[in-house]
Amino acid sequence: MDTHPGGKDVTLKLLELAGLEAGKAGKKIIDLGAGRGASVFLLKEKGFDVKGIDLINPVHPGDLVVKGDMRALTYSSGSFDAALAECSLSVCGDLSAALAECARVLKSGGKLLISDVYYQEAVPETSMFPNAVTIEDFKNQVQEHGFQVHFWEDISEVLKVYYLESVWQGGSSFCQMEARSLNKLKLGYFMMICEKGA
Amino acid sequence: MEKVYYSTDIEEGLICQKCRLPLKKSPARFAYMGNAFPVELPVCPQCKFVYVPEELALGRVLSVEKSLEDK
Amino acid sequence: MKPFEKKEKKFYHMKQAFDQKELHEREAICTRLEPPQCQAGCPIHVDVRALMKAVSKAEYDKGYGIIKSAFPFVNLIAGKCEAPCLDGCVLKEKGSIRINTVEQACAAYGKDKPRSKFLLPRKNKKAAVLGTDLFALACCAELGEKGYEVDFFGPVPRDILLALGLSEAGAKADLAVFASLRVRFIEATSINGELLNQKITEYEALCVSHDLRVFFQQIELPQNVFWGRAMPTLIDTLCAAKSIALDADRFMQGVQTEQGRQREGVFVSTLYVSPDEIREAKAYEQKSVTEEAARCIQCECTECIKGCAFLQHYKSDPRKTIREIYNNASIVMGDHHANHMINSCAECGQCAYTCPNGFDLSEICKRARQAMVETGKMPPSTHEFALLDLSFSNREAFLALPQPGFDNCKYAFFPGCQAMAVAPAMIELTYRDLCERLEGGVALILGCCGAIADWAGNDAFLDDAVTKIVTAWEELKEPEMIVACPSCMKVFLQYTEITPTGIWDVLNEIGLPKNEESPPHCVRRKRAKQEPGRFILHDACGARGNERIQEGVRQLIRAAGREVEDAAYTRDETPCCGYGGLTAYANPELAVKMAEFFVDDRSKSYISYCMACKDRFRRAGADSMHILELVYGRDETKSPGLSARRNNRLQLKSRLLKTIWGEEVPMKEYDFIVHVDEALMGQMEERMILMDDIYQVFEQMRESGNAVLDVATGCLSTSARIGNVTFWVKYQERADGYCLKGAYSHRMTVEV
Repeated sequence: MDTHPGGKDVTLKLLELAGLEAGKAGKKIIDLGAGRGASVFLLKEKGFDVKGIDLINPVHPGDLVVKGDMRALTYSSGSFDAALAECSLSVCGDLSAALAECARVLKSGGKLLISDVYYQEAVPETSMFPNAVTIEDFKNQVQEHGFQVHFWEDISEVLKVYYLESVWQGGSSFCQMEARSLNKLKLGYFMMICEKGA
Repeated sequence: MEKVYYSTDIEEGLICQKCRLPLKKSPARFAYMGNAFPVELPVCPQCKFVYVPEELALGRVLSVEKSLEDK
Repeated sequence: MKPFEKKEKKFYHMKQAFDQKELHEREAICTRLEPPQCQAGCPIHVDVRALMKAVSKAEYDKGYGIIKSAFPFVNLIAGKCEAPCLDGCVLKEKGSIRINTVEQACAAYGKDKPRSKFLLPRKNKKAAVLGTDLFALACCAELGEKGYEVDFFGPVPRDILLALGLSEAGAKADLAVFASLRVRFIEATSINGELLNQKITEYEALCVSHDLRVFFQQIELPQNVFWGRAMPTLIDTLCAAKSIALDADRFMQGVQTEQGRQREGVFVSTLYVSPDEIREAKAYEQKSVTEEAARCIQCECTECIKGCAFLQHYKSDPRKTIREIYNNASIVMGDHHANHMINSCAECGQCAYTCPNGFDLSEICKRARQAMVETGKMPPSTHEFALLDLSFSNREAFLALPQPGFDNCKYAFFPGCQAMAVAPAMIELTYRDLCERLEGGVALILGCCGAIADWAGNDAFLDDAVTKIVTAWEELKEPEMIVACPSCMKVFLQYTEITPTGIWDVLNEIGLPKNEESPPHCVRRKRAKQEPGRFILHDACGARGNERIQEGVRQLIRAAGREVEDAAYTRDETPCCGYGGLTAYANPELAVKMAEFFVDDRSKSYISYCMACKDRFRRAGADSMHILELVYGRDETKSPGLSARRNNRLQLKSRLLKTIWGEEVPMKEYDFIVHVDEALMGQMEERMILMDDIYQVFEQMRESGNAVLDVATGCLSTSARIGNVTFWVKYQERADGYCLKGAYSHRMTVEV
């Protein structure tokens, strides 16, 4: 089952929108909240020099996914061409800190590729995603940390598919959500490409 | 290309009595409480009768039904 | 035709079955979290139960720690406490648990676990304590434990303890607590106003013994000085020290001093302890200290749990359950984990009677179900079968006719859907007997009162059912309604203008049927040799709180020449048989447990006055009868399955229509037969698939021709959608019809 809504298709679409061609000159990319490494492997196949970090101990041996906290990265400043965050910023615990770190480790002109949940209205208290915000809030935060929003698109339909799949597979995944509430609370999913200013 | 949630492992041995044709693995759709699950099941190529195996009905389908009801 | 009005109705349109205020109010009714009086009567609230438990297992170190957590001077407490706790022990009449002796054992055999200085919370404020008495020393310990830096101005601490009669060893052990605290002992030979004045400005707060107050008769009392009080006992002194130290602590932290302190010191606990448990407890005997500690009955209120299989199954109590239900309702996203529990309660109301404070969990579950149905959160599959059954009773199997020859009937007999389903022959005998021996005509109404819908929390279905019955009753010119089921009686009393009479009252009045002189269908029941002469009576939950029914039934049993005895849980405290609340549908395993809870002695014979109860106990393997069997004949027929229940109702209607009213009702006839073996029949029962469903599937197949042959097994399969369910049948063809090989169903639809 996909490890994040939209799966491989969304990852590829993000790369395309960011204008990142496969592996030219071994572009360095970091996957924030890489989980089991599905996207990391995909990026590696495409020729990127990729690192994946996750707070939970990585399953795969080897260096591709290491333990790390996107709110406090250990990499030096300006060491990546791009950063990928798929359904991870909303659950990392501190959006502002994570964005600050992204800004730090990206080269100037570096790209931030995001796909995540958002609320069409303000976040209610009982939310499972306390860090999820409205699109406006998200854009503001991103800009506050020195990024420019090049592109964003609502792709909420992938959320429903993701939910159904997790129901079909049984067990719970952190992205499992109530289908009816998807409408009631107006939870959505979006893609966004940002660029770090000079 | 739509994701398929289940694909039958019955490739042969089911004959539609009405059309006298063997059922073939084809796309079909389960639906419950406003949610749809695309699957692949044995279907008669002519009259489109869909066969739902007992293990599937009492297994995954039942647990998904309960899961959707409990939300 | 005047519209009827519901007598009582509660509708909760909001998502919550009840709000937080009501949650707290209801939670407060349950006393389970109250401490026992030994603890409440102890000024420093030693956890006596835990202490007894530890010492009963000779865990003296643990016991030491328990006392220490109430106050660090363990040896002082063990040796010198005045033990007001003894007065609060519920076993006082037969000898309070010797709590003080147990404490002494801990002080003697137990060791303190020294705590690292580094684990102490660090509060960077300095406090001073001035005084020469225990109060002052105790304040040091308290403030020190809270992490303050404390300067003590007074005599050598050891001297204070020795003056109270503590031994050198005991004093040394107790004073060891200061090793890990930031307390400095500054020996002050004279503590007077001058010293006090000096120190007031040097420290954030000061705790001062009461005898120094004399120095401040005239001057305004400074804000940061906290005075001790003269206390009558040593243990009260420790309590006062805790309280004053807390005042000082809150002052230094700048927080409100009053919050959460309503139960400081001695208070009266509302924990209920069962008199039975006290009575069964052992009296005091000079024994070892571990045996004395084991004598403690670990006071706990389990009144509701003891009698309820549901609470035992969920290992819960109403307090915990009601909170889970509240949280369940407030879940917006994610699984409603408590749905299953809410739908498993029998809604029988026993807890309201077994609880000394009347906590009624059934009411909560009912409202929760209503809220779930209202907001579309009730899982459709849970009660669907039962509600379809209700519809069947009020449609296909429904009948409402006056006795032939009477335009206006004085009475109407309403046996109820369970009696019709389980014992149709008996119902026929009953009706004929009533027609025979009652003057003025007896109408017959076959239907369901709606109790099933009430339990399902489905007001729409309940409305329909009640309307149906009341309309029929009105059309029959409102006769006196004779009911055979206490649940029906309850529904009619609660929701309609009808005031029913119980069949037991009628039979008590007109007596049991006579013998040979009467027409053949009335028989005098002479107790056959193999029939029981003595029964344990199960009171139906519909009769809870209704002494008239409870008495009437007992009278009838005796009139039939039998002896009746009460079970442990009887009358108002009767438990549910498993059918109530639709538990049998929502949670079949639990329903079995409920039945087995009551019929726990298989050497006995049981009798009920609700047919559902009789059947549930029968299924649990008990020798189970219904009171009408004493009158009209023992019913030895097998417990009917789901299909047979439906069939019984239908056949009863058709047979009576024909034999009493001379009406032929064309019954649905099929021109094929479906053969099913017993094992498969059992599987169908479990899967809630009726024979009627199977026949309908075959009928549709014969028309559509849809069938699939499995070459490997030689079996055919076909399916049809009936209502919200798709039924599948596996079969082989026969000359006269079909031989069923399997049946299953699913609720999802499927198409290409």
